[in-house]
Amino acid sequence: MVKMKLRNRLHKVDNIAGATVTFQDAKAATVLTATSDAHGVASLNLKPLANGAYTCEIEAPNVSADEVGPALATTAPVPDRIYRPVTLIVKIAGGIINSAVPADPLTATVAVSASLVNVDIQPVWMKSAQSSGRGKPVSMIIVHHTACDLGPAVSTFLSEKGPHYMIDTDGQIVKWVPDARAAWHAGVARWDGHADVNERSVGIEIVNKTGPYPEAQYTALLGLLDRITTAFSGIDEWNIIGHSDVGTNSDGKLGRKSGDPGAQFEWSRLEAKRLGLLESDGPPDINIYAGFFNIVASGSLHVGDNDSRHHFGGANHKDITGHPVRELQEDLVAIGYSLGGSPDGDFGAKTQAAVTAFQEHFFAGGRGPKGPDGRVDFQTAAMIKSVAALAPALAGVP
Amino acid sequence: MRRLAILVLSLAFVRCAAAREDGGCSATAYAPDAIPVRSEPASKASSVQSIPKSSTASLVRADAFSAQGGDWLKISSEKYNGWVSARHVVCRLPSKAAQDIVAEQAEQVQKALKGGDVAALAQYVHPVKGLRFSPYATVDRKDVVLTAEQLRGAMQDPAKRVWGFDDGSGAPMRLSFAHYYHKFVYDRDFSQAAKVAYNSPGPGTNKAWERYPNAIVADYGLPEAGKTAEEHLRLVFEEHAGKWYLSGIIHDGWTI
Repeated sequence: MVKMKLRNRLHKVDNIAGATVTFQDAKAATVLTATSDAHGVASLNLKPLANGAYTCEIEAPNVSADEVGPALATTAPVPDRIYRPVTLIVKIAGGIINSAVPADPLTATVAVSASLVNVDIQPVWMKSAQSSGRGKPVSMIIVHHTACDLGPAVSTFLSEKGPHYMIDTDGQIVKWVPDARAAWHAGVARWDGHADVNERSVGIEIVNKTGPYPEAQYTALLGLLDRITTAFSGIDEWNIIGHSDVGTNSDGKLGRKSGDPGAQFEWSRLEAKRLGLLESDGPPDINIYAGFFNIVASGSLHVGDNDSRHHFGGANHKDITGHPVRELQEDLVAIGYSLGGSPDGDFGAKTQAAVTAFQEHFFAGGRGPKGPDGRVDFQTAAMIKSVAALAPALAGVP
Repeated sequence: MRRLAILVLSLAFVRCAAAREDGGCSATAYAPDAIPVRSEPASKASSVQSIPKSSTASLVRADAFSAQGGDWLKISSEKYNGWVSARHVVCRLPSKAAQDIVAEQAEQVQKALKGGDVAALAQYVHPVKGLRFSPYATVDRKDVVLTAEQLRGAMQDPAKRVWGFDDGSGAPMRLSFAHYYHKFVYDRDFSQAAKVAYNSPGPGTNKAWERYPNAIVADYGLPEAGKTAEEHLRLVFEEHAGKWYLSGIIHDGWTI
């Protein structure tokens, strides 16, 4: 007897029980069937089979060959796992398996030894431990990175809380929470005037511990965004943002999730498809924000600046009579950022945090002239102005 | 002329910022051009001198005082002597000096934490500010603060408090002290950290300084398998009337 052990490729302690294993010969005639036991083991009596090549179809109790997206895992009762169906090209000689190669390498990883064949099958659905009902229509998509390897991410998503979707380093997508429910991914967060971001959003975690994101992940992400925005017409493409754009403290101060998805993430990939926050075309205007940058060459608006005290760029400027700080705050709010209050003309720590979050987004992918620092130099100012000019009307209140 | 003035000002700012990285004093963004120096640590005390904002790098921190209205720093230099508001000036100790001051105390705190001995821990708690418990790296203004007295009986107290908000669901975390302690204070043996970093600038300590700008932050890091960042416990010590006390315990682990 040859044993074929079926496991979850991303969580190898999951044995796949009740899977059907079917061998067909070159004429597509079924020559052997078996079912995996509680340990995920299918016992195969290959002795009667003639030497040669066979196809081996493996079907877990719940399978899907479709692209992972909103249509997956919507029928009740939703199982704990859904796997890819697997086809192996198997060579048998003398009643043992000499080689077994998946027809599609994305569906399984196979290791062959004399009496044991390990087949680790790609899951497309793994049910996360926690989620809750949505009281709100879906209107946003939040992009995260895991800041860890696949193993710890899978372990947390399974046992505690997870996003709706996870994109692995090879571009394969696993779904964890049905889109109809709120996943526990954003925590305390504010965007577009809303503080109930989990209830309003779909969460996507990209497996990335450090370094650049592989091409396969961008391809997968863009495909997934397309499927989600098609399924939920209430999502404004503008509101596809990062966790760092929305993660706040309880008082609405941004910065709690600084670095997520981080400086390596290329938002330009989304912008090229007109997804997420966008800059408008055209040259920057030196007279923006009450002419501050025209009057104070190389100056920056920063913490401590205040319209009513005419204190700008760290110095008193009675010659600036407009309201550059309030205007800046209004632009940040129009884009969607939280100020933890209404625009008030006072550049405090919360405004600084909102500027830093904006810079994290638009300086990421090597686009920034400097690291995010919460100081509004002319380049930052021009970017904020340019993005605010395209921002849709604000849905909620700040 | 204006441009020259700005250049001089911005150079001064760069120097202040650099001084703060290695310890030293600097003006905050909220400092007026002439920072009042007072005879006592209180805003109603008479202003005896004023320090130009650009001269704060020359100051030396001599003491600190916590009051309901905010913190005060006693500064001294050849020219200046008295109390300045911590809203205007930050004076941070360099790493070596910070270590010399709190290392022994930090070790005792670690010992108390490891043994779950909150009565022993209570001895070190800041008499004015109490001890704030932060479940995540960013200190939140809603984080629970306990006085030394409250801390003494906390381990046996079944009452639940809201210790913050879950990193994923955003829901309030209603836990007893003991439950919180085993999840967000001493979930691992931080005394085994290979190295203790005292006032060492970096993303974590910088976040602690956002809330405790004049504190000594003792940072204990333990590796977490497969994760980018280490798991950290940060002990925050703040000075009051010539003595240093524990005023914050920050737990910084992976969040979703």
